[in-house]
Amino acid sequence: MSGLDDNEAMKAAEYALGTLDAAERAAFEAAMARDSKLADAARDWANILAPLAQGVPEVSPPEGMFVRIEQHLPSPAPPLRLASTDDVVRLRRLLAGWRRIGLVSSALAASLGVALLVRHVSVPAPAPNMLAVLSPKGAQAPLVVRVEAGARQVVVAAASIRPPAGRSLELWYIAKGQKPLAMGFIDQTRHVQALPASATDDEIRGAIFAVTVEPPGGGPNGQPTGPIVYSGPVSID
Amino acid sequence: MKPLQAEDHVRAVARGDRIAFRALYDAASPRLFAVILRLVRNRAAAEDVLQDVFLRIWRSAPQFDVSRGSAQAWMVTIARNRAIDHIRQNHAATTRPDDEDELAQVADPHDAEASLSDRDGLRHCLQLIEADKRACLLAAYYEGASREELALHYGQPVNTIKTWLHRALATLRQCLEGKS
Repeated sequence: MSGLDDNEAMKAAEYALGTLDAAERAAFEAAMARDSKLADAARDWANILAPLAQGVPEVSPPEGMFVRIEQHLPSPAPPLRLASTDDVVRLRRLLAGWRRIGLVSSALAASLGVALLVRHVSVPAPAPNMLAVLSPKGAQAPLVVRVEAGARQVVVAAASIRPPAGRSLELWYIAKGQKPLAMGFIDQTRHVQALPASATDDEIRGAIFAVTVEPPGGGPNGQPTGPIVYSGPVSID
Repeated sequence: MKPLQAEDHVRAVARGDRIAFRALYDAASPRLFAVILRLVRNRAAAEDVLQDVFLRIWRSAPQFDVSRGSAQAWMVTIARNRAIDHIRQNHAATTRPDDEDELAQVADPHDAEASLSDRDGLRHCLQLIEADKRACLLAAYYEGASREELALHYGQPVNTIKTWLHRALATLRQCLEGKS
């Protein structure tokens, strides 16, 4: 059948069971490498015994364990994906993607700290136009959000900013002390988005805009989940 | 549509698919971690072993062959081998520390045996083994008990334990082959 003598067959069984001591295990592993019949026999035994493991009640490994494992996988940087639930991994990958498309400077990549570049414009009273210039640190093209306070709307024209493959860039309006409010996507088209009718000039003046990287269709539950890649305050002259 | 099985994930992992690797981890890690924890009896060590096991799964996935056993059995085998290497190399034969808090979460291995399904006939065949010999076999499988530890526990010479284990394994094999 297996072509092994009883001694070899039992060594294979005990190897699978785990009762060989360290020296015997090492010797058997060396023998398996030379003789596929031994390897087959050990595998057969492991298969026979494996259903025993089904009876062991599951124990969840700690949070973050997968990230630890993934950090040891060979480079290159993994592709963007949607399945990751881990922010650190997602961030690293997204940054790799952003670098590829030349959108974000290496300085941003290094820190993800976002410096703000705010331009002042003259605006007529009483419903001033405002501008938020959202820029990553470095020399990349800033993202300009024009806030038309009178019309309670924002205009975004970001022809040069392209979302990374398989992701969307979502714009958020964040009034002081309030939850971010989705303001549409940055997708190379000019778009106009209404601000909340309840927003006062003061509220708008104190608000910030931010752009995060989200799954296609936007952050689940209407809230941002991905890393912030642009942000800046509203400014008025 | 048939839900994705572990075998599908392993095949995708073999192609370097990291999404599949994550899915495989999510599906398989709680059972593998439980098996490892039971063997090494220390959470930090079990985490190290689990990491090693998944890196081996990643590297070895191209060699996985479904005609030679299920993906589950393949992964359990990797996990047990690494855990047993760990405990054998650390010479902790009779002095392995029990991480009591962690072990409290892990059910008695005899309960584990009791929850075996009859599907594979393994449970039935285990019942044919004499009680002491069966207990030896299960202590070795679930707890990584060495022959020396078993000898100490049963007050028998090491050679007797070896004979018990061989008889238990032979009975198991005969029974399973007789059924198939």
